[in-house]
Amino acid sequence: MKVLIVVPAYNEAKNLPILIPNIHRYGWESLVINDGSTDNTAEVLEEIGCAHLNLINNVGLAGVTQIGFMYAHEHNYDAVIVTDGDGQHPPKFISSLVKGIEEGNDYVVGSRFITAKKPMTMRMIGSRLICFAIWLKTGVKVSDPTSGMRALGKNLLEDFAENMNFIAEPDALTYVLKKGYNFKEVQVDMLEREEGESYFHNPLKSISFMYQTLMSILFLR
Amino acid sequence: MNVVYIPIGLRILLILASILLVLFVIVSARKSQLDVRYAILWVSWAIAILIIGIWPELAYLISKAIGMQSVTNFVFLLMILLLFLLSYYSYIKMSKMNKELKKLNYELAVLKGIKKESEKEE
Repeated sequence: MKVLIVVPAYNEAKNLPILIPNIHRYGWESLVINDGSTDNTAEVLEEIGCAHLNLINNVGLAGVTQIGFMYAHEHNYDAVIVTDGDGQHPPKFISSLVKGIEEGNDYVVGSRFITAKKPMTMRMIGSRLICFAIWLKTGVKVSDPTSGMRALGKNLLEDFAENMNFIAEPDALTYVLKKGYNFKEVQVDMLEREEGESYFHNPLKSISFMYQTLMSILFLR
Repeated sequence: MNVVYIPIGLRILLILASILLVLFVIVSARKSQLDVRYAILWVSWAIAILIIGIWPELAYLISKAIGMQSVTNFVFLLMILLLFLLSYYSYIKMSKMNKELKKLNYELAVLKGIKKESEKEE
């Protein structure tokens, strides 16, 4: 099976030199997509010497992943794994996602909370709210709707490469469930990001994200 | 006693308009004609119109607070204000897209120039 690891990266010059060799150590083929970073990510990628695309404009996470899917679809890959460029998704779990695709699933999500319990932090209360909205809309119980570590099989890859109109992972997941694709969750552990600051550090952005995500799940899927 | 703050005809119009708006937006978003972020803006607007339609007391309270005589006028003012904001937002987006287009144009022109040069050398 031809598998491509897509790594969206925006200002990740410090994390990529650790992450990419780590992915290659497990024998996977990767493609880093540099989303018009303003730091020296482009030079760092050249230094590492890995396959990458440098986007001229900043298109945002959803746009970057779609570009990854377009590339993989055009080059006839059987599966794509999305792994964040900030190093919070350990490459050792890629194989369990690939296994999920090999079992015949179209969408495999790396979930932190299959065997572990979900903590009661602000962020996880948001996650519970999203789970509830997805359950309302599709009747399916998911454990980690915001997980960015996921794998797509060939059919879904074609679908997403052509049209992707999502805020983020939760409403994409809702779309997948509503369309009747085969879906599976596998247990993964995630790390705290090593360098740089998360987008959700800003509470206003978190609220806006929650609102948009819930609206998209409830009204537009 | 139930006081009607907004004429019943206008209320029905508001409710119908908001339902139609939501339906239009959902169809366009599902067909990927409309970006999901903009779709959410329009759906939110439709919900706001719906709230005024089914709960005119809210519009009455606000219009009284800002010293407007008629609630109907307040509804019009609100619509104009929202349209104004939305149009401003789209101008900002347009300017950003212009900037990006310029960048793309430049990069493409440079690439084409490099290609011509290398053909000459051959």
